[in-house]
Amino acid sequence: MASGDDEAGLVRRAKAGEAEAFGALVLAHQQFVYNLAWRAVGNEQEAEDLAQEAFVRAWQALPNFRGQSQFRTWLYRIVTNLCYNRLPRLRRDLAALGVAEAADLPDAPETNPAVEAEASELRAWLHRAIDELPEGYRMLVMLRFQQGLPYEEIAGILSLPLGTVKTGLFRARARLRQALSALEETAA
Amino acid sequence: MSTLPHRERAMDAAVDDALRTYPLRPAPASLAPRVMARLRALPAPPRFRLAWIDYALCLLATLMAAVALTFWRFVTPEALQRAQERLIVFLQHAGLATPRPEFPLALAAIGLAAALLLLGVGVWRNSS
Repeated sequence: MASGDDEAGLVRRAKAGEAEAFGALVLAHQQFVYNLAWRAVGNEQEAEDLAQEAFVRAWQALPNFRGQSQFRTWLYRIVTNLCYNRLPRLRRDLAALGVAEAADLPDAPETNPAVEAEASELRAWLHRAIDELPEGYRMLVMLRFQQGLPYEEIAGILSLPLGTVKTGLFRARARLRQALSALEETAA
Repeated sequence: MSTLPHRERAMDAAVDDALRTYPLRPAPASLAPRVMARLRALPAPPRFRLAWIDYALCLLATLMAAVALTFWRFVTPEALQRAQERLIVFLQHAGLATPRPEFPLALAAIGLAAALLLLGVGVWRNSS
């Protein structure tokens, strides 16, 4: 992905109408944009169409981008709004999370080599469990853990209160923990 | 120190690990070419694009200038003198001393010029 300075330059050139600069931004962000759409709609073709539409809309709206947020935040918000339009239930489900358990999750902990070595099968199983989480949880997980975004930025992207973002991530983690616990009890 | 039993900590670690390593799929190879093809098919954007707020500010500035010019045609030297005196009285009442009688009008003119300059910069930045 382009570094901050490079990206600011690309955005400036794209705003001036340089399609090549926008093409570089597309290449830098296409993987995450596609994955965000795919985790939301759960269908490869629809995700590609949605990602394509998001980039076209970003290009058209670029003159109105004033740099008050990062380009990625602005772009992901476009993707999210398209997902909300495609799945109106998604916005309702996320908003319904409320702020009941708004606990901060710890930041990404130090990698433990022992856990890394032992856990490849378990990790694959848990990845499948993440796939089975509701779409809203999957989007939260993507933004927080794959993109490493702070809670405030995620709240801005998803147009949700900060507490709802924290609650959603807390519950996503709790569900995985519960599923893992059930798996261990079954195996025992 | 954590009081969680070892099993609980291991489960938390496994969940954290899975969350951090949840894989991203590669974007389809056709995505970027499709986007660029769509962009090429779009009509060329106008060279000079403004947001609605710029239009609103331009309209406001134009109205202000029009009112000022219209008003200026009917201003006699006596009326101007009276306006200056009233402004001085107002400033003195507000606790602001004025060293010279032209000072308040000069201040107002500088304020208006600064506002118009800011507006111009805003419009230029948006269109560049």
